[in-house]
Amino acid sequence: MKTKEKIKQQLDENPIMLYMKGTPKEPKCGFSSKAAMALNSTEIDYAYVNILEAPLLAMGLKEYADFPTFPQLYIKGELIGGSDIILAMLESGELVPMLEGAKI
Amino acid sequence: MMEEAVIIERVKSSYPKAVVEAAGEDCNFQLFIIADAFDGQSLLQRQKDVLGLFKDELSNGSLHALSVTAKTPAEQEKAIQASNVHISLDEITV
Repeated sequence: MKTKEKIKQQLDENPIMLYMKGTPKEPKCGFSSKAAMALNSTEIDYAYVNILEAPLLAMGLKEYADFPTFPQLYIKGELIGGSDIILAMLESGELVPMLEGAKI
Repeated sequence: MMEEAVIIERVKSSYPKAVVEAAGEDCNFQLFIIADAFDGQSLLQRQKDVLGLFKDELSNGSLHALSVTAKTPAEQEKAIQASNVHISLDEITV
């Protein structure tokens, strides 16, 4: 299966998906850690992929999203953004309704 | 690791009238940019444009990650009022 198809499949199966460096419990980068903590604070379940263990997927995602860094949050298959945007949306109150609207 | 001055210079070449500040290094390197050019742009589009300036360095690893705060002068003014802390535009500190 080509990387692009794998990405589409993962996004179809997971309406809330965080591609990050490390895992929520052991983030490997400050930005991924902030993004995971922000999502954790909403207490809404989300899927995650540690892109450090999936370099091909990471390269594919940068192209797919035309966004060169991680973390990357997708809600219902749409790129929302990285940690800056996740934190800004959490603060402005936009994040939770979006997550609520997407959760399984 | 990419020099801070080089990063700021590259941003300024694309946003000549912008206020550009940088702080931190490696995994929490932050850029603060205030430019009229962001007017009418979504947060995501602003990020894509700014991060796009560093596409090669971000992919070859010479720039690990980059946090970008991109505001218009009006948004910055509003943020200052909201935080009622008076920081003049050129003394932005993290």
